Amino acid sequence: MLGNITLGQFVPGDSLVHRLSPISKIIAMIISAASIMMFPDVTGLLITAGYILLVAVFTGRTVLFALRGLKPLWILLAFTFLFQSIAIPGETLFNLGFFDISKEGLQKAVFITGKLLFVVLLASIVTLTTSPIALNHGLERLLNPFKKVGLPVHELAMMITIALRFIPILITEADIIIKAQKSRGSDMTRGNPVDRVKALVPFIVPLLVGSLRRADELAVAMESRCYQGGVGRTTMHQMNMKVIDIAAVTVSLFYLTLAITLRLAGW
Amino acid sequence: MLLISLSKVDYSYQLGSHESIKALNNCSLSISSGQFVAITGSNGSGKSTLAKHLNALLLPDSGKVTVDGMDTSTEDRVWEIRRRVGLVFQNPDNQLVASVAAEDVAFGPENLGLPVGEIKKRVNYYLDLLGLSDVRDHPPHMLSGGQKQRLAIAGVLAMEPRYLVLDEPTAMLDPSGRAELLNAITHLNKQLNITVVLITHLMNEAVLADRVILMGGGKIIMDKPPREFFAQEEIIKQNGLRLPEVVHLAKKLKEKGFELNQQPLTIDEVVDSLCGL
Amino acid sequence: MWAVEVENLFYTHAPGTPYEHTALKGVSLKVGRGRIAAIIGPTGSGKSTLIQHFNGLLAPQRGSVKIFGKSASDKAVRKSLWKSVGLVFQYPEKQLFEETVYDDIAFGPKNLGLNKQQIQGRVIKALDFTNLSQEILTRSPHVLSGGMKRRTAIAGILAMKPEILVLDEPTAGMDPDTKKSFLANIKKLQQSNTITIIMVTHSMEDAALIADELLVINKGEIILNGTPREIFTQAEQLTNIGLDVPVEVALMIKLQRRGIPVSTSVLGVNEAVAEICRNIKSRS
Repeated sequence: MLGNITLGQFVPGDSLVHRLSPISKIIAMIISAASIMMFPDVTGLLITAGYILLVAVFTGRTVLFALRGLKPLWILLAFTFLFQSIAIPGETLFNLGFFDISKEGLQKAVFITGKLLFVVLLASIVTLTTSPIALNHGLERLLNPFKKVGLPVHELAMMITIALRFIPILITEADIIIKAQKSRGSDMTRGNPVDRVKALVPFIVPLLVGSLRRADELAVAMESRCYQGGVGRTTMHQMNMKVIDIAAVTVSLFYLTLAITLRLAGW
Repeated sequence: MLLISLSKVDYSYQLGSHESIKALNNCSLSISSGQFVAITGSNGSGKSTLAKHLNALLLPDSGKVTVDGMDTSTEDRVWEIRRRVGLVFQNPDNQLVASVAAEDVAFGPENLGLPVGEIKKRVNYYLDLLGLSDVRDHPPHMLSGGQKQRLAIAGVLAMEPRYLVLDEPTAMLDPSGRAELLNAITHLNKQLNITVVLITHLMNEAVLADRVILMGGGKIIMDKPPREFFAQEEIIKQNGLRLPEVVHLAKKLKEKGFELNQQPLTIDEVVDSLCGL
Repeated sequence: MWAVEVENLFYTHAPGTPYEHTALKGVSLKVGRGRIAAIIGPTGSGKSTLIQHFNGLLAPQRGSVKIFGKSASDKAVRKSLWKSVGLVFQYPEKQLFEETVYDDIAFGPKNLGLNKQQIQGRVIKALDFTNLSQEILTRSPHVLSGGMKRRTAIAGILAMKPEILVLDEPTAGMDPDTKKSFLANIKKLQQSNTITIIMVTHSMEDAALIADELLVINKGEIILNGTPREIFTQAEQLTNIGLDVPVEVALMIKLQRRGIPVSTSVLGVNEAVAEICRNIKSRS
């Protein structure tokens, strides 16, 4: 089952951040992530914490609630922290089995882990406040210049849309097929590697046949609804910049300037 | 000229290089604006093939299909025909494109290249019309079967078609989803005057229409108003279908000497007749 | 000994997550050997979760499931339950995967470790039973018509000769004639074997046609059980939870509301007509 993957899930709402154009959200996120990476020391972390708090204020409570669900992230952060604190030699603070934890290592660990946490938080705020389709439209628009060099931008975006739609269906379907074949005595957990690969056939073939049938029916349904590719198509999502969009990008630029200044000063 | 017309349409499916199956055999038919038509037939009778001819997904081998005077074989009219004839299919999961309900409704209008304001207006209107405003931000896989099919209808109606063609739309629904969908369809036809073509093998659904067409072996066997249609039990049975349970029950009551006013089509009509005795 | 005996069974999907959902809340039921039981309930009532306990796909979280007296809480028992309990999922045609119809039907028997001759015998018999002709044995199951695919998939389970056959909505999407002959075949299967059959369905009408007993499930609980005739006395409760009652029962409910003292416990159109004759003729 899907379990508790909140990462990348959309939480509908009407906050200021929700109402930003997906384009400005993506731009602001890239600028902010770059800034976070640029800060030279722990002071930067404090500034970033303030910055994220500011964003969170404009994001609404649903999202803050959802952020708590980012469980898979903690494991990654814990690993990063541990690895960093071990990797850097220096003045030993205390000993952990074979490993010496140094003051420098600990500082570095806090710093790197903090940066990583903030970047992921920002990215999550974007995905949590933007419907996948809107995000996709935003990306499509941002990548538009690459059409000239032959990148099939619209087709890529449409593929992502459909993938987002069908992944939950296919997961459910896979679950049923696995159970159905188990009911006929299929077992993937026995025998040598060749047997195990062979045992996958009863699952993969029906899933593939099913997906192809779905793809076929979907194509017919899309044609029925006048889909003729990207040409002449409009989108429901407001892509033009409004005042709040300009404000949001300006704030992120201000933050970037801060990062550059600190970086240069602390060189 | 507001109608769909088929004249002497033949169509065969190719099975390999030499074999083929004749799915439509000399079908002629016209459907006028505002009607509620049910097309019935057992599996393999050609009813779904016929549905796909109504919006140029399939083109006749011979004969002609026109929609409001436009020939479906004329290439540059195809998209206008598809806008006018909205098609809803059996499997709700395989016709919804977007992972958010409102955005799926927007899909058709977006394809038509409508301005943003108009798309938003239509999305809100049709979600509301089909009773889906509460779930506008939900992903389709979190909706019930009945809700998914209503969403599919909203998505088609957002292109503001003249004709709504539904190909066995209730086949994968449970009884409450089925009832919910049939109510919506009847409402669209009666209150909003949208032309409805309902393809179904369920006779309980066919009774809702103003006109019932029976297909068998690719041919149109019968085309009558429901009360007259269901009086023809023999023909219906020969084509692998059966009377709606209500009609069957009424027939048995008549055999026992109950005088029912007319050919009843619903339970309420039977009850009224019986209590009026 | 009961074929299936469930006591106070609870089951929660994805516990401890935002998607937590309790599907079964203390279900108890018994199905006798050689009977046909129908489990009826609206979508989301817990039917599918329940039947997946019968062949070991799900382990009881609380309460017990016993198949012919053996407890499914025991992992070893659960692992071998597929051999005696055949489960036909909804839209079973989805699970076809072999290159020929023969191989697909033979898949289960092969996994049971039968020899070639035995397998062939099983395949032919299962094919016969589902009214499929031997001509299709060498064909790919993927080119068959929808109805034939369904029957091939069901034959694949029957060829395993289960002692208990569980069918999840087997008639979904069938046209009326196909459905009628399918249900007749299921009844025939019961009469010619010592098999126990459990059919999950939305349709009270299908259930009434073949089942010896009905179990009505709603929101994870069994709310009614008994013979079709007994259940139909509670007809209003069935319609309230979103189930379809047969048309003759629906008619009786409406006549009752008009003050005519008919019984809703009627099986089939003929009984309904007789019941109406008794009450309305005498009234006028």
